[in-house]
Amino acid sequence: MNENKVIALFQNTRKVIKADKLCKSEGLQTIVMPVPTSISSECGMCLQLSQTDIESFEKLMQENNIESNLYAK
Amino acid sequence: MNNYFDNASTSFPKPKEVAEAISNYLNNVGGTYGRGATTRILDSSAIVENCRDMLADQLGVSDAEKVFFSYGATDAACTLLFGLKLNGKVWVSPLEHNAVMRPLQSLQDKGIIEICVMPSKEDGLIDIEAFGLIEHADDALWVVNYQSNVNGLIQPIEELSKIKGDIGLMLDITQAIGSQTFQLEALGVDYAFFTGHKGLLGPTGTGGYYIACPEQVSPFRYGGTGSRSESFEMPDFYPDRMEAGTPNIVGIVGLEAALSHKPEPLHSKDEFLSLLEKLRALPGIKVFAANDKYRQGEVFSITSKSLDVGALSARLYSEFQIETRAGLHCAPLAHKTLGSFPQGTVRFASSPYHTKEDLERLYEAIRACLAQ
Repeated sequence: MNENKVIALFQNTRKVIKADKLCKSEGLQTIVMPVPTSISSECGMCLQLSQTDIESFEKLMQENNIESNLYAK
Repeated sequence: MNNYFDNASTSFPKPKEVAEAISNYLNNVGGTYGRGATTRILDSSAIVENCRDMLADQLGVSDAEKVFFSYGATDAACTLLFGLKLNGKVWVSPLEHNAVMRPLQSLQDKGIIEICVMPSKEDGLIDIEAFGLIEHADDALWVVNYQSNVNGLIQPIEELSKIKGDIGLMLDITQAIGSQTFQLEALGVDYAFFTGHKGLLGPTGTGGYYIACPEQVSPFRYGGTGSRSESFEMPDFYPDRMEAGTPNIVGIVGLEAALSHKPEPLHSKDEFLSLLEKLRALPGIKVFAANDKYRQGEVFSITSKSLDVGALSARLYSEFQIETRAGLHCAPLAHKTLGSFPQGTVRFASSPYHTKEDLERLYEAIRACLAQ
């Protein structure tokens, strides 16, 4: 378990792309990665980000009406 | 010199960036949409979603998740018309295309709907006053060919929108998109569909549609979406619900490049309208266009007293290398409305790449052909 990182899951690809673009434009470091099978059976993508960025991330998603669920990595 | 006047069939040329983007995708990028998280997949998916956002901008739609990709306007029209579960009267505009008429005819043959044609003026303009006097209690849908692919007439959507009430309004914006932007949301349009390979200058096999309330339309295609993969049911969220299967990424990459590199027109609207005026003054010719110049898109047709339409089109090509389309243009209802059925017309459609000189050369070629 990497305690410094969290995984953000989204409803679909479009929302991942949109969220990643928004994060990068706001200077939040994200990595697009496959959804871990321990979290979901989705075959798509999710975002990894630092725990220290969670507050900014959640504010950004709320402002842009993007739902996401956070999981510890 | 640009002699290609068949842009209402498909546009040519395209911005050079379209082929470059497609080549780059095929040779260097690759990758599918949303099924994994490699750089290739991320890059491809980002292009698809950027294209969706750009299309939403063109349409005047604030929520791009209500804009869906299709394989063209016909594909989109079938998705909408068969997915709506229509029941009752469906009114169509007087210049409707077979992309709408054939799906509707199949529904009428099954006894599901009744097709009615909106009353019109001489040039195919919907007679709003007469249409407004008709009883509309049993109406299921109004379908309007926004800009005719035969005479270029632009229909009065604002007026229709004002009187439609709760009745669904569907627009075929295939011929106009690219040459103008829309405000579909503000106008209260419920459904709209288009192709990517005409005015948008993208490749064939691309297109899309807009649904104001997507839950009203059942998916036409079922299958994998890369989301909710554990379920046999289609996702209940958008755009996934309407977009099963791998999208036409090659085409969408080209369409995105076309939207990003839209050329400035090399001729003005006034120069186009001037061409129409000069043609109207020629003897032995009938020009099919809007009576009101403010309702004229850059498509028009002609017939000749002395030559049938096939012979005129062939002569323009053989003697002047001018490419046109002769016949009914898949719009028999439009020709019935305009009085040019069944022989049809010779159709001309310009593009941003035509110069004033190209239009003048076209005029001289038509004049010479008719004078022989």
